[in-house]
Amino acid sequence: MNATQADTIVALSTPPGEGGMAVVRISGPEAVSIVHKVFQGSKNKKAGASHQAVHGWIVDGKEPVDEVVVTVFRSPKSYTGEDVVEVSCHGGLYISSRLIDLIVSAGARPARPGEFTQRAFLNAKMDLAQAEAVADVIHARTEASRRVAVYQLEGRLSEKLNTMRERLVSFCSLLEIELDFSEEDIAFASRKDLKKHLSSIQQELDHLIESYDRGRICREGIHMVIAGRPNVGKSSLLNALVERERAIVTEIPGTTRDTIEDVLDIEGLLFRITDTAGIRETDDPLEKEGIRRMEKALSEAALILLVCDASEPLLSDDFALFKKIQLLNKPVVVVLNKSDLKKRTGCDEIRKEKIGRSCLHVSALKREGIDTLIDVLQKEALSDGVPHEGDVLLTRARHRDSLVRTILFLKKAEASLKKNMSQEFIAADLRGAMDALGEVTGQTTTENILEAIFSTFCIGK
Amino acid sequence: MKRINSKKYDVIVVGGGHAGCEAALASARMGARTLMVTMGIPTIAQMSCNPAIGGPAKGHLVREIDALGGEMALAIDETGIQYRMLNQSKGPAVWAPRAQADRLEYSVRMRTAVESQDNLELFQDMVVGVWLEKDHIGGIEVQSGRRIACGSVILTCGTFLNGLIHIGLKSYPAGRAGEFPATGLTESLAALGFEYGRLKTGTPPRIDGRSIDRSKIEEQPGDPNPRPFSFRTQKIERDQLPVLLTHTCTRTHRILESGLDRSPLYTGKISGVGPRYCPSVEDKIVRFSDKDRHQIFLEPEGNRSFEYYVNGFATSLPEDIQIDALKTIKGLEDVIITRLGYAIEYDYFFPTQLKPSLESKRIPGLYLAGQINGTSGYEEAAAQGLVAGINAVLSMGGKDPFIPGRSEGYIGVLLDDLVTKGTREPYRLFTSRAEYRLLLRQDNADIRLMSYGHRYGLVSDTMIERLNEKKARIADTLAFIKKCKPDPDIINPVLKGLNTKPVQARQSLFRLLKRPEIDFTGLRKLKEVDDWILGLGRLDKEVLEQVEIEVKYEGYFQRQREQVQKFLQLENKRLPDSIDYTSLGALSKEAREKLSQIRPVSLGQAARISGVSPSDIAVLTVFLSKKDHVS
Repeated sequence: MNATQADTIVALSTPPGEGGMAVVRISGPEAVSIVHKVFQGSKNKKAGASHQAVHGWIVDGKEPVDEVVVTVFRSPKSYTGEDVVEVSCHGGLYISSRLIDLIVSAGARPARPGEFTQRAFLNAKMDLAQAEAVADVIHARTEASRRVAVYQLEGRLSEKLNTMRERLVSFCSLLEIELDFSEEDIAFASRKDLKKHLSSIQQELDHLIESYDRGRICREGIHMVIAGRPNVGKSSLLNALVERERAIVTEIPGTTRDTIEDVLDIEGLLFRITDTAGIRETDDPLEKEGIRRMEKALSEAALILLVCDASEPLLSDDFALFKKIQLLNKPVVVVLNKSDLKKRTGCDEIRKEKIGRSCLHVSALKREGIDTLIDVLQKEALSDGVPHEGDVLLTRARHRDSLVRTILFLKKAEASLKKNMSQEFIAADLRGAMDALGEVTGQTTTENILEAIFSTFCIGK
Repeated sequence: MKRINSKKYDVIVVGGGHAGCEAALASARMGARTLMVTMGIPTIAQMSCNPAIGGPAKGHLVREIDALGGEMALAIDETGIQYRMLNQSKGPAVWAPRAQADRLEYSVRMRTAVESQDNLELFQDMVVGVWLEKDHIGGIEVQSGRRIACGSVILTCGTFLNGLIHIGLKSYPAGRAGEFPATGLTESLAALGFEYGRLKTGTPPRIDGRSIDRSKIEEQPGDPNPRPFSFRTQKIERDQLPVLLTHTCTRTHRILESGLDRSPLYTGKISGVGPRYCPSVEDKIVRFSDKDRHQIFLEPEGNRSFEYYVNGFATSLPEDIQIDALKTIKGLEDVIITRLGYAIEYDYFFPTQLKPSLESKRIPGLYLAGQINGTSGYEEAAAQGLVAGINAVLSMGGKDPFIPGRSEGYIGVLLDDLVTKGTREPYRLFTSRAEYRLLLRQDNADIRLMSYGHRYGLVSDTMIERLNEKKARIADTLAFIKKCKPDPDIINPVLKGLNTKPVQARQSLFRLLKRPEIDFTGLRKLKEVDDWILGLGRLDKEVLEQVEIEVKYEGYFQRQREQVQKFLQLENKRLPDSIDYTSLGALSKEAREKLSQIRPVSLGQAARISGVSPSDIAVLTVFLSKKDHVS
């Protein structure tokens, strides 16, 4: 028997970023039709027949996003027993998250951790023991659920945006009612009330826009550069971090081969790490090129992890680097490595140099102090604090752009209000705002506004 | 006009209400041999509900009907008993003329227009069906079984199709109180594949005006200098009657509540959907139980009647409740009811089965207009009647239909909403339905639409010459005020008189007029302005009004005009009738279904269909560009 699920779910079914290929899996009654919305087969071929791979492109409107192979597994002959579509795309976090975004906007819902397995179990595709075994694997791979957390974050965002939309609609209904129903026996909103409404909506939007930087970090990761003179233990520190998180990931496509970038997923927060070679002040042309690269990496960093050797006094190479970094005026975390050896440099010396907001001792070799380091890194990455349950963050540039335009129109509305213009002019500004917001939330129609009027006010002679 | 058929009639209009009258008059005036078949010649252009025309959006419609050469505005200008311009405290876009009509006189006035129209015959009978000739409409069949052939049929049946009146738990078939319903036609159309639904509307009781205690009631007078609805009316010189204003009270509400167990609405007897904007009084007290009073307007029915219409008190509660409840209203303690309020259910045909020309997609030559399309209101009906009349004639001559767009007029908004989105409740126009409201004003309906009316032969050469002169004068005057920059020494005393800041340097009149305190009346103290205005002659008021509005709201208008340009880009991309949407696999399933059903005429219309997403529009755009490439 097929325990039918009403909705269709989607998730990345390969570990994020591992390997050159990734597989996005969609399961549920609409799996095939949802994929059709975003899939353009080569030679217009359509994916439909079970267990057949079709080559083509995932498209966003007209724009191709990735070249893929789509395979349909018709119910019941599939992993979950439902209609399942597997989209094999290029590896890398960016591509797979964009694909999932598209599929979600085409009607699927991001799967909860273990939901595929749960459906397979419910549809008698596996017994309980098998299901539990899979669940263990899922638990072990915390990064999968962490990625989902990002989507949940965005789910809250869309809730928030819909609330904003409703507030605009209700504000607009206050304006419209006085135009279309001026003969009605209704207490119309005063100018003062209108102003109050408007500024509180604006404030909320401002907050959201401000959250963009934090949201972007959650989504795209924060670019962290590890710097330090040679032999301070940068690589072993990176290894310690990676080992702790079991999540060393991949080379991001598009970066030059000689600046290796790792992606580290720390408690759901992505760190894109560039490890710079230790550089000495020298005249060697090769090393000079190295310095140039390091300086470039530092200038692009959002966060700098500066590593020093606690077992030695600070050297001229250290001071030279401090100078460079201080000029950049960026968040810096200083790590005094080799705390297992005899201490010759402490945090007091570092503070004297006025570098870094925090300083801590670790031993990469003995794996000591790594947990504290991770805490510090998280806090620095999200300098306004770690997002917690209930926090709403704006994560996409497209959304931010919409909101900024929404605010521009609200400013116009405010100006019209101040000029004491009649309601229809303010309403015209408001429509502009709703159209801009509508690019994210879906269009607002007159019907929505009339609905708000009829449900709130007693209309009708 | 080219005659393509040898039949006696080119166009048959079924129904003599507000839609039917405009349809028949337009058709006959365009030269088509026209027959109006109505169930009652004495009730032509009867106002079934409140005796009033106009109001926000509706008044705009009447002005547009007039600009296109329709009759409604002239008729109300000649038969009104009170005229008001609503929303005068707001901006010009939402000013809306409204009038109380003399119900009887209005009907007679319209009947005379219909009877005296060349090319137009009248016949009293009930139409029971339509028949086809090949795939095209063939004609109508009346009750006696006689078939009348014609080129086009326009159905304007109002609330008469299988009409059912409810008062309390009693119900009886009727088209209006005291009139037969129309039976047979719904079934005839259904047999041809048309889909239909059921709507409900209601009307309040009427009372004997002599039983109103006027000492207790507030009067609402008309405007001292009423502005005509018609661009052809010079001046309204009619005596006006006040409307009386009173309120229900909590005692009224208790009595109404006590009758809910015998309400056809609340006991589920009525299945039709009623309008949310015009609820019955019992609906109001149930849904808004926290309100302890509701406004009631007592509207005079006319000069030769004592009856008053109890606006705000639509009800289908039983007779005893209606009487008892009315008597609790201030001023109505000793009221005498002359007619009971009632609810009426009737059939309507889903307007998404029509093209924007109001011709049915299924049967060429068959047009539907007015309440049969699910709308409410005399003005909405008349506007559709006019459009259907024009298009029935145009199509017989092989010409493109007249389809005003959403950016051209409220008529365009109405047509597009109906055929694109359909309606599940009686549809009424609101100004908020118009995206380009600031530009679609009652004051400029002539500038927006009159040239169409002239093109179709419904507006006289004299009127169009006058309009062209007006447009030229507006342009001249705008140029004049931009150029005229009076010396501060001359203008500052004038500005002082108007209580506005003096200027330091020369400033154009255009800039000065942007100040709220300044208008042409104020500026007339300058000799050059006075001379200019004298030079405008008979058109001075209209021209100055347009110029003032244009100057004062220039920025807002500019923005809307830009929006219109953007809107027109999609609107002007025509979708050929031959597209097979089911074959466009890249469209979503819902889009394929909806597009096949609605068959939009343009990409713009397609985008307004619910369920058609921006990516579907992208797919259609690609399809269109490929097609252009091939051809």
